[in-house]
Amino acid sequence: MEIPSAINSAGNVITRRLSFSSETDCLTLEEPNMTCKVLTLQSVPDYTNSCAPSAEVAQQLSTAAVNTYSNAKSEIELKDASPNNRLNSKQQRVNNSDDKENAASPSTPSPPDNNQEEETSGQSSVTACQQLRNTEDSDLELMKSAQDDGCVNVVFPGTVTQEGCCRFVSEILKCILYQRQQLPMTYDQLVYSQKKQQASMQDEDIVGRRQVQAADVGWRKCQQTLRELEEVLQQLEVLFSLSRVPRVLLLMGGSIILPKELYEINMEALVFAGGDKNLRVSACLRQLFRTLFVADLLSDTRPVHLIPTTVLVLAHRDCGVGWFHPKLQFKVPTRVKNKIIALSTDPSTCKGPMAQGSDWQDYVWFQAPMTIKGFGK
Amino acid sequence: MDGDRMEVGNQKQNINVEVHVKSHSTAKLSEVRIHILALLNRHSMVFGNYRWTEFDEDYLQKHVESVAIVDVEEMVTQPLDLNSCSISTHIFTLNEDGPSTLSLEEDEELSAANHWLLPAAEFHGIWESLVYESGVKTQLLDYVTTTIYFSDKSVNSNLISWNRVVLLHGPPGTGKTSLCKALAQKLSIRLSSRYSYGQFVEINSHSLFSKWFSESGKLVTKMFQKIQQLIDDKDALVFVLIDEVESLTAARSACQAGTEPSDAIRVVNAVLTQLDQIKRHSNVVILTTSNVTDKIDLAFVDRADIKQYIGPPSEKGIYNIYLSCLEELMKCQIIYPRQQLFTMFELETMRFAKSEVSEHSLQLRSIAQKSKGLSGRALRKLPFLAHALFVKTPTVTLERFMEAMHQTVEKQREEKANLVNGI
Repeated sequence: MEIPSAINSAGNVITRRLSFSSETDCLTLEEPNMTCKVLTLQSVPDYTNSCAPSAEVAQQLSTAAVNTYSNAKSEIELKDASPNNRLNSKQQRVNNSDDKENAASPSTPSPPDNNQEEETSGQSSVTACQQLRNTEDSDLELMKSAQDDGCVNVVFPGTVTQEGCCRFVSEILKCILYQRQQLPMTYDQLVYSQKKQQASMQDEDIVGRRQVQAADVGWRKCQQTLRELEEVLQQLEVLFSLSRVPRVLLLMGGSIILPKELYEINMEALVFAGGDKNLRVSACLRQLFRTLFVADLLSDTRPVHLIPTTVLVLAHRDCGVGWFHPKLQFKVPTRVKNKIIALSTDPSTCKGPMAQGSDWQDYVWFQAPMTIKGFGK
Repeated sequence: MDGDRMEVGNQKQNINVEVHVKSHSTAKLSEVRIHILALLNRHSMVFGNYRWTEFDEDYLQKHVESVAIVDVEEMVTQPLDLNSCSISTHIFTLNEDGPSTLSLEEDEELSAANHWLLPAAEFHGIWESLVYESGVKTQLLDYVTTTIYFSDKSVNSNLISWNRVVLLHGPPGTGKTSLCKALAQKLSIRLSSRYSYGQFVEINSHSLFSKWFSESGKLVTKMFQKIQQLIDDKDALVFVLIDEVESLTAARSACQAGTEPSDAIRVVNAVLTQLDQIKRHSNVVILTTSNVTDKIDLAFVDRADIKQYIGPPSEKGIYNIYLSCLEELMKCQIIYPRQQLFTMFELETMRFAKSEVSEHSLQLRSIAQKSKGLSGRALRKLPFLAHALFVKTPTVTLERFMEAMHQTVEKQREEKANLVNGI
């Protein structure tokens, strides 16, 4: 079952995070939604840079100035909210993208569970609600198309950079691994908790060792998965600096001929431009993940087992990348239902040349030499 | 391609050239082919099988691991002129990923089958290492090419029927399973122009038996459904290996004795009907091996198109096996200094004349004569045992090592005799 596990694993981080926000602005903590918000924010990528330090601060704060009442209460609320967790996260996303700022800002006053309550609570949420209604139709449409043909279109209102593209891919990869239950927490949480564990191991060298040995297998698996993922992400960065990458495939389970699940990130219609006219990466990511969550592309009620994930990228034949192995014979599996995330640039907003189909003739598939094996706790 | 082969085979000798492209190369196949043809043009005279691994041209050096002229009839007395032969070049790269597993049920931990993409790095070189009576390997190769040729010409399979089943049987350790793997590898290279890749599925037959009564037959059907999924891809040539096939197709007549539960009979029935289903497809070959042919159900044996007996190697085969072992040890400098050994063919043309140069080879021949009756598996481990039991120094001369091998052979025979006496 996915929901309880997500709550459990993220539980301690959530409470800590809550206490942090209680320091900065005093109007949170009673809302069950707050917990959901934190959950979704974990996967909002432009928050990641600040993730580790802020959580550290939060920990200090929580030891200093947190009242036990709110802590306990938020945990209870957490349980209450859990069945609606994924649902709420969608509404949350709408609100977040509307007011364009992250969680700590005081302008997000606790959006309640349903629309009725929303109207009675505070002015700013009324405007949020109107916007929500405006977007509701398009959201429904989006969700329908995603469910019918497994395709989500994200149209950016401007040009992007190659590095931005790499960020999109790596964030989608992290998100898919988490959403498809290959990681017990989001990647950034895992990195943080691992760092913390390493630090504590150094502190209490002798006492801690026994405990670590007990959890040794899990710990090593976690480390290995993180190492693999980190390497793949690094090498993706290298590849993106060498070549344009029009398509990326994530194959999960099975073999590369017949995977269990297939995700495609299609970036053929993106327009790149130099200079400073590009869209901000964080804004694009926000739009991307909002669309993804609304379309509900990644959640599947069926439980998934731990299966290896293979990354394949389409890149130029002569780009000279060494780490990825070329697979000249590879053809995209057609007998598997694939889910496509298509990123594109709105043609009306840019003057740059659009890529033609013939441009991709000299592009061949490259396969990452290692698979990412997930782990569960 | 193979259609051409059959048609022109009578007039011109056909030469197969296998081109192993490096795994990190991104060169276009057409460009590689042009360079290879140029290379063969420059060196158009060859004696029998030959392999190039070093190239004077930068392009080939960069992209190609080796170029080999393979499977020419061994008895070549005059040089071959490539210009007068029809040449088929087979260009391939090896897949370096290990096997992936196929499981039948979602929560099944035990995998029902291992699945390789061919040509696989794991299977590389097996074909060359297997030494059989002349004809066994080519016969198998020709069988499959003929099946595909017949399918291409759309021969009515109701009139001329074949079942796509090969059964290899014989005593243990003679390389039946290895031969299946090597055959699949070879064919996926040979037919690379027709099928873009090969797939090799090795079924774990014990995983097809369920703990639930009457479920086993369904598991077999499920397994074949998975295989069917792979076959549906017409670009792929699928090899299915059922190792120790007697466990899946135990003779049904034995159940009259009451030792076999009726569930096992259902498994046999399921396998037989599924085989009949699968033979409609042109891109599948089923390879099976067995030690005990008399335990196999007659209906299955009847379905096998080729029932090839793989026996223990002949004296000539043993000599070749030893020769390849010693060459390897000299390459790794465990036997030092390197000394010249002749192939059996060369010895025969010399009429086994005693001389200074052929002394070692003749000694090896006498060891080979002594080892007759040992299985291929025993022969391959013999140099290892010789080193472990009688050499005991890091490097050794060839004379000393052959002496040790001689002792080991004696010991092996002795052990074998003791084992028989023990029973």
